[in-house]
Amino acid sequence: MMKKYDAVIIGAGLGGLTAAYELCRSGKKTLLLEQHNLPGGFATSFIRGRFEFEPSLHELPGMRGADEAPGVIRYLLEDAELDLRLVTLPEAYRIILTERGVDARMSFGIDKFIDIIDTLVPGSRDSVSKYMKLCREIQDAFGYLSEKQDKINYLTVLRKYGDFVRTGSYTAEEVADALAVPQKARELIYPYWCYLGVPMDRLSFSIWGTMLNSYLSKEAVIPSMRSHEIASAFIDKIEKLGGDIWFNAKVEKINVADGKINSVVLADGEVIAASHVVSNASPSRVFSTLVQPESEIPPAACRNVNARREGFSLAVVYLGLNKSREELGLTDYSYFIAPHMDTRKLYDASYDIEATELMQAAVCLNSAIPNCSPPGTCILTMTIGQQTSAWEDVGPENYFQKKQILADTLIAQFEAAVGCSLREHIEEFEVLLRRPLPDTPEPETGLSTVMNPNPGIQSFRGLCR
Amino acid sequence: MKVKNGLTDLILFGKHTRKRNSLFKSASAEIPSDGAMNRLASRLHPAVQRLQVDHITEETADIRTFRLSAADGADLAPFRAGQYLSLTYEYQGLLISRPYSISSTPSQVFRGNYYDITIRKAAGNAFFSEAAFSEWREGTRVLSSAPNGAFYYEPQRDSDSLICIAGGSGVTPFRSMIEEELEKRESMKIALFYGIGAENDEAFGEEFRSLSGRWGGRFVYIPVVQSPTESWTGKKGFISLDLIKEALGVENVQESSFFICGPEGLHSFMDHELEPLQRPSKFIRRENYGIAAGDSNGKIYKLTVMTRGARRIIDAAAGESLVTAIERAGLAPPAWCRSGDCGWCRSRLIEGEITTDDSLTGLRAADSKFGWIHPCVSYPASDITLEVPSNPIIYSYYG
Repeated sequence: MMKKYDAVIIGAGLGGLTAAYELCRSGKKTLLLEQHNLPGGFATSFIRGRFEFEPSLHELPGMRGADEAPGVIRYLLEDAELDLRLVTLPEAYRIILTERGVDARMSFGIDKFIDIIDTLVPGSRDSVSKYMKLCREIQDAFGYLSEKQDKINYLTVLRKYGDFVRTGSYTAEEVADALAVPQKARELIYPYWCYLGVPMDRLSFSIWGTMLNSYLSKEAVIPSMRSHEIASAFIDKIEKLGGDIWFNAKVEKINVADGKINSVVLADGEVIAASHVVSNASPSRVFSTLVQPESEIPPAACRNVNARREGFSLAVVYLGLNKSREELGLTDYSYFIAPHMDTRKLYDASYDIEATELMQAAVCLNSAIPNCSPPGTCILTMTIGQQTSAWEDVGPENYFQKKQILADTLIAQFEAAVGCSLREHIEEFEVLLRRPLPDTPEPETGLSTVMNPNPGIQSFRGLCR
Repeated sequence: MKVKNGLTDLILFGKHTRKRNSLFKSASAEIPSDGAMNRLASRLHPAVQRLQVDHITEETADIRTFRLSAADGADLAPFRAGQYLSLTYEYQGLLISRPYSISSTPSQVFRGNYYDITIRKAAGNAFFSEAAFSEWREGTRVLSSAPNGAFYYEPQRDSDSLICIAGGSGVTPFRSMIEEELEKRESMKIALFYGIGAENDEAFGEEFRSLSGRWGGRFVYIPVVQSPTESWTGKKGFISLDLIKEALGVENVQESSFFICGPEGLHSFMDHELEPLQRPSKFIRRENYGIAAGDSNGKIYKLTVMTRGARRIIDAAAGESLVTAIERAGLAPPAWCRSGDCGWCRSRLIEGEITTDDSLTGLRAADSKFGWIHPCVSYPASDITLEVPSNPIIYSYYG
């Protein structure tokens, strides 16, 4: 007897988990299918020896703070009442620009952030304050737009969010120029660009502004047991709401007839009847392999996928170190390290996997969660963004070696910038590539409004060891 | 505020949506492709590899090397010397799986598209090895996982002087590592201590001796026979720290990384022997061949196995891991490493009590919190209800 559901969700990444939770909560008979034996997609964890590593998450922004409006993620997690312990991060980031002589610790909270910049770049207060106020307006405008959906009153938008409209078609660099934000201040403000993977002279200001505000206006948190705790808490919740979850259940086909979905077929042959499918698998996967027959794929859907470029893929070096962070001198949680903050040059270097002029985002997990590894040890991860095409010519023969070269570069860069020694303390070591989302923000500003206005929580497809 | 000037800013915003829509409209309507990274990923991590026995070599009376090539012509997944495959085969009506270290070198995958697997009869994996010895011939089909495991030389972490300690069939990953790592880096030095019961238990002896000749002082081979015949002139007894120091010199021992592979007894013995060295644990890498059985009090419990809503009730003996019980009942659970490392058997404990060695479970912190277990290192202590994910390999095996 074929099983039948109101809705089938493909993929238990955070998007799929959220969808399953919402559907179960509204009383739909829901089946969540996950091809791996773990939930979470990139919101997971992995174990090497006595270390449990966080694969991807640096921070969940917009979680705490006196602000009247809760962030989207906080709203979601609080609403779902997940069984989750969240730990507040100590500071926003430490930025070290080795060729520019910059080494600064940036705080959460817009006022504190502006104060720090003003101290380091005297005379910048006025322009930076305007800039940050504008970022706030952008995020508020997105909030209004997503709340009203198809009932948007454009006059209200123009009246209440006029600067959102006036800056909406420009790049982040153009808006900083218009407000005359000093270059030295931009160096301190820009490091989050690497999360978006588009240089500032091409990045839509709207996207950048809302992201910057969401990261800085409230404190950020991380789960105490790595992102796997978020995924597991969602699974627990969905099961309690009566949803079914199957692991090791890879979807091979979505059967469509006359423009309507009728079933999905698993790689192991099981067929499940459903009239609705929510896919957490990427649109390129859905339309390249899943939807059958091909004639049922709307050309507009293909255009929508093909119009986008792939964003950064991320490479992460994981170190389990056999000394405490105090012994190693790892004083901070989040480090952005680069020779300079010329995002165009850094972006161009991302086409070369052996580039040394690169920007890394490093995290020492123990600075936020002291007991995340055994006493006398600590966990340090280093992330860089790269173009997927940079890995295209890497074959299986030289794959391990290329990852070693990358690790050597990142470890050396970190050691030199922070003035510490890591190499002889490496007890566990891993390098993983995170495959990109094809729909991360577009390099062209013209497409950028498709982006999720709250980018801190994203799901990615598959670890690549 | 204005960016260019008030009116331009507004007009540009007005054109914004149109510009965006025209970019969508002018894009290709062809079916999108799935990307080069995905192709590389599926070469590196295939869900299943269809293998066939190409050639069988008798290493000793009860040790055989099976050369496995791709039955479907696919390019086999590359691996790092020391990793294992989980093999699946149907024997006496049961679909069984066991992990085996790859005993050929990584470069042989690229040169000849094959893996060697060396199996000892009636070692820890009695049932599976019986199947291989009694039924595997040239052309026999078996299924395999992608290469797995973290027992390999890692230049970022390890000393480039390796002391490899093998107990019995634990020698197999070293056959892969020695040639591979000596060839790859000039600074590499390797010593292999190979503990065996009797002289005629020695697999690859000729090969190791010839490697030792070929690599000069960079590879030292020392078989250690527990109960040798009188004619044996080599090392006797167990692989003690004194024996290692005597063979290599004290300084060499203090600067080396240890790689230890064999049954659990070897590991507890070596833990004790190596303790006086006070080597940081990063320099002692282990691969455990066979976890000791649980408390065998003769009790049989009721185990309810739930998969995709279906429910089966089977027997589970107190001394046997839950994975073994499920496999014995013909339900072919997902399981690769069988030592708590890989997490492939991860299942949800809905009801009941288990016993497990906390140092071996390999569980993620949140899995412990939300009631997930690794059945391969869990033993029943009451009746149990377990939700087990389906095993994709079953479908691959039977199609």
